[in-house]
Amino acid sequence: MIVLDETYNRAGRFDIAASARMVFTSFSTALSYLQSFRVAVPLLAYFGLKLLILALYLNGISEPVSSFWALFVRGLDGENMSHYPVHLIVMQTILGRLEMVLGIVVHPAFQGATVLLIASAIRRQAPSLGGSFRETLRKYPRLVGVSLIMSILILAFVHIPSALLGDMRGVPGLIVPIAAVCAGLVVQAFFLYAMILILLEDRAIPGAIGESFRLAWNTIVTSLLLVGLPFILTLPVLLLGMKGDLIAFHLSPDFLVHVQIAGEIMILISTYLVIGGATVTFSRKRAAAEENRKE
Amino acid sequence: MKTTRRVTTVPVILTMAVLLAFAACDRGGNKTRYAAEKSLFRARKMREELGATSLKPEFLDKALESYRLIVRNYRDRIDNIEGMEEIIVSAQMELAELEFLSGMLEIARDDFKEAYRLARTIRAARVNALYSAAVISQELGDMPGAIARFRQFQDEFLGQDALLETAALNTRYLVTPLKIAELYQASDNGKEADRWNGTAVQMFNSVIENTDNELLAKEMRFNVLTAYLQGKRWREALETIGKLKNIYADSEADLPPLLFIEAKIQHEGFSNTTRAIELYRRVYREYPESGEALTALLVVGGIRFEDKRYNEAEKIYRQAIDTYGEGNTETVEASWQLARIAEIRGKWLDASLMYKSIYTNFPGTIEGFEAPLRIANHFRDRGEKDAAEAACNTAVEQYEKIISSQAGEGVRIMAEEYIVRAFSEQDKWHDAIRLLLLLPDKYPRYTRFRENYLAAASIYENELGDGDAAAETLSKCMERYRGSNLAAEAERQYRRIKGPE
Repeated sequence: MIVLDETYNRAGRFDIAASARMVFTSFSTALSYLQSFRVAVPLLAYFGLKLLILALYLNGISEPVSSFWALFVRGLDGENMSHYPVHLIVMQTILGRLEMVLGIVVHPAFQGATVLLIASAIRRQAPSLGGSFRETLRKYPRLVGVSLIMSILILAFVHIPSALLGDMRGVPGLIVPIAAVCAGLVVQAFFLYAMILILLEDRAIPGAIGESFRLAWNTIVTSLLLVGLPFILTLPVLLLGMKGDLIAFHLSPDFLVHVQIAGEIMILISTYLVIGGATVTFSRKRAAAEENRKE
Repeated sequence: MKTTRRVTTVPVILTMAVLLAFAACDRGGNKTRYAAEKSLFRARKMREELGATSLKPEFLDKALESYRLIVRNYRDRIDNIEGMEEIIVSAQMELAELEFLSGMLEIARDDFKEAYRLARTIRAARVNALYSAAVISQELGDMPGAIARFRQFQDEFLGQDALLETAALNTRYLVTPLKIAELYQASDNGKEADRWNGTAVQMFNSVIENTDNELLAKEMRFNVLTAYLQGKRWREALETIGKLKNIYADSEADLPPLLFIEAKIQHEGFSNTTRAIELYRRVYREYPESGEALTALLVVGGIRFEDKRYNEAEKIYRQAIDTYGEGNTETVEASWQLARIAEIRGKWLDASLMYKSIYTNFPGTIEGFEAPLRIANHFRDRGEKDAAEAACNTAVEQYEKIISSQAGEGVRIMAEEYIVRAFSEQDKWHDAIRLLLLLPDKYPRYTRFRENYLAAASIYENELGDGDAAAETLSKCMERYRGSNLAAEAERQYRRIKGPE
């Protein structure tokens, strides 16, 4: 049985205060489910996979491994890649691009399992790790499909501001990247519930996306806060990563490894908050709607 | 289900483990080379940070040791791993450069020699290392060593086949035969000096004939002129100037210096003052904007001054100041000469005001340094002891002001030397000795101050008649600079003072 909170029943679309309360309640509820360690296992496993990839990268300075990594950056070859400090300076770019691929193909499996585990916790059922992964793998093609569509749209929307504003004179330098980030967050907000709809209501891709858009629009402020607040957690490390060259030459290239690991930790926390917050919000919104229908 | 999980997870984990093990292997020595690159990067970072601390000894030692460790740890892999030679040679060269900048000249020279030995296949590094070792030998006053190294450089890198390739690295390498000639001249071996000047001319002409690079050819043509000037072959120098004036007839940048050199040859080579003055006048009348114009005017003024034609000299110096401005460091020489003319005419008040104006407005110039002492010496020569003492104190204050200012190290070093001179000229020998012995630590990079020990010992012996103090000073010098030519000279003086015992 899902515990109902009046907050979820009453918050209007543009009611910022109520939306903020709802979001913080969702976050704290999601975090409370971590008392059962199994809830954290899928994302921790994915985090472990990323650390393993990082280890492979750091050790991959000989051919043919270095040539593989060099594929991710134009103009770089395996020979250049194997030198210090180039190897570390390009690390964030290479792993970032690999992450885009993993994010579409591999991450949905772990995200899906997390959604199901949290949903079990919401229903006060014992979360089953094996069961969650099995169910996720069963719906895996649809999850990958949604992930792919969302990634393409995010890429497209992120490039629109620079295409529109990039060549305009008098536009302050920060406006374009800020606009690009905001565009990406908006797309992410609209796709926020698609994976949950596939997993919890067994929707097909078009239906899941459509319903996610509807839900997101009806709770636009809530949805934006659900993706925006965790994103803020990753900002410091993101900005640090953008100054890779500066860090390499003024501090030490080895510090970039620490930045990379710190980034992965922040992404882990932020991903859990987004998934957990969205799942809790979705479940409670559905329960509230069900209650209203009964009344 | 458990079986399914194991079937999928175990291969994944095994694959990752195999990949990790594979990547971790040091195939082809890449990992070793990577570690060496990392060490070199860190050593360079330390060297950069050293610049900010003005080469403080504790930081300097760490930076030097970091380079030495690279060479020590990886030199046995130099032939086995691709790219290792570049890293080790770079580390060795940078170590030597840092030692040179820190004033550790003998060690720097030896490390450049070692870099030359290590760089078996890197020609540019061999060239640079051997040349640097030769230059440092010259700087150390080791004439035989410098000659030997420059000759080795000439044989290995300036042969007919290698000449243009070496010129492409840096054209300064091509003046090697001129340097050898200069060193032989300094060693009073005029015959070898002439021979090497001749070799230099042949080599420069060979480059001119074989190169398509007009800039290189031009530089070599001027080097030919330098060779003749260095060898005091005035006729050949004049002929060369004639040829250069024809080739560069349309070049406003090249004609003034050629005319200037021609005038200098007429004046110093042939003592033909009339022709020299004619040519100097051409420089400043036809090319008043050129870099040589003011110098030409001042030289003519100097000629008139030496001939005691003070009225004409005064007119020329005033013309220099009026044309080029008084607030100009080049015209300070004109102001100085006008002050000297006033002094010669007995107008001491005018002269002293001009000297004061010079050292106040142009403190970093030679004239600015000389002016305070000139005032003090005027009173000393007239027997006015109190006035001389006061003027000397003013001079020392002026020099101390320069030392505590933002002036460059070269100017501050000169100020220190002038304080020593001020003390010496006023017979304040203990003050002079105290300062002489402080300076090597205050300016460790300025290697000439090491010789202050010899100067201090000489003052003890000759001015103060204290042989024991002189010997003690020499013994400190021997201890501090053990193994150097300076220590050898100090030991020679020590034995002379101590006598047969």
